[in-house]
Amino acid sequence: MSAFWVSLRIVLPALAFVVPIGAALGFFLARSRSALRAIVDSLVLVPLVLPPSVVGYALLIVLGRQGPLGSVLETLFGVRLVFSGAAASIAAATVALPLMAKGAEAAFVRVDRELEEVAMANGLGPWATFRLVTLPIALPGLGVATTLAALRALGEFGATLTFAGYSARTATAPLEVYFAMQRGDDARALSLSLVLVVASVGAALLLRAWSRR
Amino acid sequence: MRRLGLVIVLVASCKRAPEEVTVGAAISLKEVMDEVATTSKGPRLALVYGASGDLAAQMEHGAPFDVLATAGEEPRLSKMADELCTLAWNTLVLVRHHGSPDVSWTTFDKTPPSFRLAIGLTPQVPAGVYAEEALRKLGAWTAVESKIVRGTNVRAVLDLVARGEADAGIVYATDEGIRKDVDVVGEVPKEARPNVRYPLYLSRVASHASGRAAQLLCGEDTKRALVAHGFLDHPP
Repeated sequence: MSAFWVSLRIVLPALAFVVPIGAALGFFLARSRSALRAIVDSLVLVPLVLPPSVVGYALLIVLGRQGPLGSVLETLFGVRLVFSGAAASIAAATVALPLMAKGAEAAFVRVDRELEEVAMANGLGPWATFRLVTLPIALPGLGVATTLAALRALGEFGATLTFAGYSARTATAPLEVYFAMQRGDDARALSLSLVLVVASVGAALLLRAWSRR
Repeated sequence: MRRLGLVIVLVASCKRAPEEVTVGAAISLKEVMDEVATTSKGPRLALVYGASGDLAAQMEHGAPFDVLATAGEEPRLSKMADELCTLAWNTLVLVRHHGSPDVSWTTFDKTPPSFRLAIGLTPQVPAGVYAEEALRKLGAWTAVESKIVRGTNVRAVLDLVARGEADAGIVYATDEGIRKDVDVVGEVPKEARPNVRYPLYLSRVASHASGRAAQLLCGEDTKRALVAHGFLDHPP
């Protein structure tokens, strides 16, 4: 169904940004004891707890054609974000990043520092230690965080509608459910909803299996 | 016992205030209806605004509208409501963002590829349906189709133009002036003028008070307010 195709084309680029950045943020949150950590820790949750319409409005003010960043993007590269798939990806990434960062933090906190110290004492470099010791232990937790972030990105509605608008390129499955319902096209609204329900239940089962490992 | 008390309070607070009439109105009527609701001597009006098609869909799905004023006929309402009168008529105008490139009803083919024309989402936003109809009649549709972006109601279309996210837009003549940074280019050419009519529907299950409110809305006071806000008292 085309709405899911649109959703995938929006969610995958969003995740390509969210997973590495969120994992790095999570690692920083798990390991740092600096004053910056406290600031990052309180800011990272903001997009998750704010109403999505506020997130979308903020994005529109900053990245819209008249916004400080949006106007620069347009003059330099001729890019107009609103109504583009990129805008929907940005909205999805913004709301999904907190889940990835906090999930990754939990995953990295669970890694026993002594194991890393033993590896280092045996001559492993910091990168090799991370790759061979830290990452394999944190991986299930990172998988959970990625799944939650992906589901949040897939389910994004408010910020997308406010910032990216409703166009052929931004007509994700959640937006299509809403607009199909408003058109009176209940068959489409219902079938899209059912697919979303099945996907969510599937993801929940996957999460369960993962966290049991 | 305390829980029962809470339930009673909740149920009681769900009951509507006496004689309150729920009116769904096309968002282009917002300023007039707000005014009419404060000055009317009839039953208290609880107003809900939105795109006419959205309101009709909501009513179809059980939203308890007593009266509905839409920016065009909504045939699916015929199962549950009767048309009582025509409130007013309206026309379309082409507006552009202050400072956007020049454009007119007949020169969409000369606009750059990056040009964006905002119109209402069809079929639920009547202003969008009328705009498409007018652009087709003018033979401009094929030139402009790829440049169209959609607003989810006519005021959202106006917002896109005001923010400059769209270079131009097609809204009702009564909408311009509501937002700054929007210049009127011109009214829709005569040969393509759609019949923008605002019918008033009364729900078949509406109360006596609703009937009285609907009669008042069809009356002279509302007509005067509509005309004062730029609506037409005759077909365009």
